[in-house]
Amino acid sequence: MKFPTNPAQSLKLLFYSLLVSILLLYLSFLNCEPKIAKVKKRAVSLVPSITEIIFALGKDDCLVGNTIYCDYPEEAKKIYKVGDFSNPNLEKIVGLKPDIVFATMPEQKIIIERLKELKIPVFVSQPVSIDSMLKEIKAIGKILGVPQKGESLTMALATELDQIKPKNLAIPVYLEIAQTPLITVGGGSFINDVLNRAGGRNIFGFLTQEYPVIDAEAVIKLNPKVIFILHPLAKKEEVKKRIGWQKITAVKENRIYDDVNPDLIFRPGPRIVQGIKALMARISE
Amino acid sequence: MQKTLRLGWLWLTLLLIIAIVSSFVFGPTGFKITALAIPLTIRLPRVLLGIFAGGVLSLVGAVLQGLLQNPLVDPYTLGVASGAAFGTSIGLLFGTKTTSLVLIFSFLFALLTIILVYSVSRIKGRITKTGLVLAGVITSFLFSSLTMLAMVFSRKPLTQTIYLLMGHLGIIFTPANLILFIIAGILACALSIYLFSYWRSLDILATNEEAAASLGVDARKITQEIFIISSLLVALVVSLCGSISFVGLIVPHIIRLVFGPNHRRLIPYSFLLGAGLLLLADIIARTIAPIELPLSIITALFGVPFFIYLLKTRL
Repeated sequence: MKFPTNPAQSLKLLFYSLLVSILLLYLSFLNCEPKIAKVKKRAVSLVPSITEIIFALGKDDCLVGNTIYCDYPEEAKKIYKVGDFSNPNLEKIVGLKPDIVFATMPEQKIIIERLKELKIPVFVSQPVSIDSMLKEIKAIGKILGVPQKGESLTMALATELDQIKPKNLAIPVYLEIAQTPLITVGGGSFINDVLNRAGGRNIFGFLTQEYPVIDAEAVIKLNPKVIFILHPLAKKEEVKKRIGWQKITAVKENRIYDDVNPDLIFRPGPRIVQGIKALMARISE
Repeated sequence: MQKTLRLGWLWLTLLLIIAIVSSFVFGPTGFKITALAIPLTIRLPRVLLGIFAGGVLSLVGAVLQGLLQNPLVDPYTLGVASGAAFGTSIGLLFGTKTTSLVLIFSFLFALLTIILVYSVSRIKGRITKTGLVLAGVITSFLFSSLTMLAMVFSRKPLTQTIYLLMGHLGIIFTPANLILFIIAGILACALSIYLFSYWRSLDILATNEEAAASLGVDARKITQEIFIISSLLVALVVSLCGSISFVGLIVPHIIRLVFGPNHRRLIPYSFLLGAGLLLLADIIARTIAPIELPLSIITALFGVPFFIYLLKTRL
């Protein structure tokens, strides 16, 4: 480029550059202002069920990080992973500069404390029943700036839940979530409430632990009418062959079910309605 | 004193019988003479498994402590348990659908470990005691870290893996599992008797290794054979009920403190006491809380004070 030599030419250049810069300045303000007004919250979810809730609220654009367990809906798999459910990486979380981190107790107690020390806001999810899950959905809606959506999703779920009317009530049910050792679900847990709403009664509801280890003979003694196998290690046919289990009514009447997706029942999120319906369909068969 | 020594087997058998009977009577669902179905179908296999595990572990512990002349040796020193645990976790965490397959997987990995330890400890074509212990320990470390790695990459609740590592007799018996257990039991009986036949050589080795050669005891050959047989025995136990700790370490010491170091008594007495104590520990694990506790916690919590008492009064 040739450098301007006469004054008229340089004045012209100065004028044009001024014009361009004013235009740029104007454009940048035009672009910037709405951004400042509607800055997106940056959310990290360490809980698969909350990831599902955030997607159901349509706020997945806020979600900047989740765990490798967050596998529903399909798009959740593509979000940046900060680790697994029990060992999320603190550095990765902090590096995302989140405005809010969703976590759960007691599994993530340590990471919650560290995040609080670093003055990062944490929402601790710990639903013990369907009702407390609905409250949490409302709260998450408020946090993510969509209170109406939270309200309407809660309403929709509550109506659907009200429509679920099991034919029979308090059918004794045994839920198996691991085989070696035998682990079931205790009373006072979220899954216990799910089972009650599906018309079942947890035979181990008297235990206070969330996931107690139990003895096979206790299952036989408590004689469930329905057995749900919620882990991939045993199939229906195998359970029937277990020595001593032939005395159980559920085994006699062939009411062992291994085809319910455990995620539908274990995750306190919007899919719980499907989970309850799946349980109910089998309990009242 | 002399009388208790001579009637040792009687007392120990009595203890074992008491343990067996109480294993039948005590359980989370109680006992009624009219309703024998639960004790017979659920508790009987468990009692047999307890005798098998406790007896074999203690017996192997006694033999290995004698062979390696090291009071800290237990059945797991030679690395087999960690290999079996790795096999179990691989089987459980990645795919295999039936419990019987998991058991077989675990046993195969235990065999692999035996081969690995054997080849590592062979230095210049010779197997030495130090070589064996070191090879066992490093193999243990290797497989423990691999097990941890498998757990980190799996998505299993932690409780399950704790029970898996800490040992537990509550395996669910299906006909297939029962057949595997019966095969394991028969094999274990044969191997245990074979191991017992080394008692004289072990006594001679314990007194003087130099003299042993002149008495026709080939230390190297015996070391090799005992290593392989006892590793096979441990592999059988661990693939069925995990690494129950402490029994194999402490029972031989108790027997030695009470009845002396003669292997002719030490080996069978260890079997009897180990079986009895493990059954008693299992009764506590099953009944003390509404949930089942890991067995190794009980064996250590009750075993340590008892051992300290014996150490203070008998030594």
